[in-house]
Amino acid sequence: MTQDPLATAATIPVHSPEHAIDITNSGALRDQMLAEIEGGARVIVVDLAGVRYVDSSGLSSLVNVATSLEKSGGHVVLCSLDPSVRKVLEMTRLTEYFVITDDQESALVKASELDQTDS
Amino acid sequence: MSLSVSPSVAEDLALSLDPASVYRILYDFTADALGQCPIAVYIAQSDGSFVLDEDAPHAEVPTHLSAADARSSKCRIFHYRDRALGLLHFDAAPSPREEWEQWLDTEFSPALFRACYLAKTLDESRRAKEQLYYLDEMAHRLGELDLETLLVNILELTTGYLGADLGSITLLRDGRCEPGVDWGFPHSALESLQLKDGTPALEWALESRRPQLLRAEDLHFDSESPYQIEHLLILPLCTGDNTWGSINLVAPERVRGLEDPHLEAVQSGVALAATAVENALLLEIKLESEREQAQLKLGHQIQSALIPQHAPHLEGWEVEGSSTSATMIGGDYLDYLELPDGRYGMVVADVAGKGVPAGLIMTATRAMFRAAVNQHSDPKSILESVNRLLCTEDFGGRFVTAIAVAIDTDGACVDYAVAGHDAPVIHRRSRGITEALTNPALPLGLKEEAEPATGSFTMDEGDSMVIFTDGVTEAMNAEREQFSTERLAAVLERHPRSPAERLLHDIVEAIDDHCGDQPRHDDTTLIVVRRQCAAEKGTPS
Repeated sequence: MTQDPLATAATIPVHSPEHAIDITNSGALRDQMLAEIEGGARVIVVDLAGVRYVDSSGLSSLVNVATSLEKSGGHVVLCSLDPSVRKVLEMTRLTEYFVITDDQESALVKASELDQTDS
Repeated sequence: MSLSVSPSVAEDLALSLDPASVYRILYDFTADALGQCPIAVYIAQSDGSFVLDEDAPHAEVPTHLSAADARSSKCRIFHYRDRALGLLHFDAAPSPREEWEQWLDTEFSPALFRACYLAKTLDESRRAKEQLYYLDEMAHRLGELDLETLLVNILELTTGYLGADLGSITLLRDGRCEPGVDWGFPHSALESLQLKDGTPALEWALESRRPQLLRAEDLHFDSESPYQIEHLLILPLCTGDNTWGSINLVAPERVRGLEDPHLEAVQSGVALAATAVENALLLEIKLESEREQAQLKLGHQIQSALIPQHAPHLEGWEVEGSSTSATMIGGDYLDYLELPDGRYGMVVADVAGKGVPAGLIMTATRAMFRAAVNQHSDPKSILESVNRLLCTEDFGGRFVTAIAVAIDTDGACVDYAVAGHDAPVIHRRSRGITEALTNPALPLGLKEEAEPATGSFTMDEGDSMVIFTDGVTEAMNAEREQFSTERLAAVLERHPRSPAERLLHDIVEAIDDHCGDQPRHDDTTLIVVRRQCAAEKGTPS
């Protein structure tokens, strides 16, 4: 049976951190997302539209969540990347840990597809 | 029969200073005069009613009589200065005797009034003396800074003053109740007490921030509990907006109600005690934090010793490095390594995250690099070896970015490998340009099969190279602008002839100038390598 992808999207956790993901907030963001995985989330969207800077602890938290989801066939979908953030992800080849889309709408469509495909 | 008051009765009455003696004379004289004794004495209240005086001998009678009850023929009101002072209650209406009635109002009433006044004054003065002693002792014994001794002092004085056999002090730390000290009333027993609606009694009292007297009928008991409490007084220890705990007393003899005058004195003592407990708790926190700081300082010293302070001397080359942690313990690593094939090796690495966790991983990573260079000379193989070792550990997603460099000092050829890390920035003296290389690759510790990116270049005389952690290029100013590779290149281009030591100094100074007084969140590590010109050779680096 075909499902409306956006109907499923309503249940997908979306995080929209502001300014930066760095040592000051990365731990809390990671713990929040790990709790969502614990609660059954298999796809998590992180909208980076408001983020201009991701430091190594921020990258490490995102990778930590992605590898935790990988175990259950889940994914982290990143969207709306600032060029400087994209550069850091490319330099570290960490792009391979994430599904990356242009904006939140396409991220939610992608996330719903992934959620249904894998379940 | 005529009645006359004998001089001995008048004299006895004049000498009676306590209510009990006055009552004895009243009863004896009334028995003589009326042939019957009162069965109780009541004292007049301001609302016109009367309250039984427990000090006078009495039969089974009500404790209160209304103004209407007092009009009964069995009652005889006595007056002092034209106002009702009290009444005598008989079991049968007394036969009136004028002399006796007159004696009652003119002799007995003033004597009773005087005795009661004296007793009250004495009682108050005794209480004031006890209060003074309690507060004085409390003030003396609150100078104690050791928390446990302080709590013992407070509990000992308060149980003694209020006449409680069992008691305890509870401490409230980080929102949780903890046993402080107990005197036969364990914390578990107190914690199990609930109000009738199931609210934990202790928490309720602490939240109220006021003394609370709980009676058995207010409490829900576990029938198995050995502590079947008749009444319990909880005195919260508060200062300002803070609650630090409570003094808990089981059935204090001297406090039967919250209006009890003893409670008033105790509240002053409790306020003093709360300040002392606050000081002792804050001191404990401060000492703990000082101990932690001392541990961190030791950790910092050990970590600093792991980072080489001086670069080895290389003929025809200048090498200078520095590493500064944003916190006491850092996650950056810098090392100079002799490679098995005779080349000169250098490593700069950065553990994701900050502080103690990153510092511990940095220490482990250093050991892995030191082990890897026993077997490998090739920078790529060195990073692969460290990556494999890191992948066997579970560091909660923390990875390590690194650059390893091997310099053939004779041929001036530099091989390097990077893993999620910035490649070297090279300044070409002859052309006056700076090259910033980019080699994308996964950091170490994420995937066993990950391959570092590699590159190589030669360094001509006068060329310089910088390898660094992202703390250099990502150092931010107040406008959140990063120091960037461009600013790093600008420093190299500004002083193309400077020796490595000077360049390092200039770069660090430029970063400091860029950041101003902005706090630095990341460790800053860099190595500057410069190949000397022919004319400079022999100059110590």
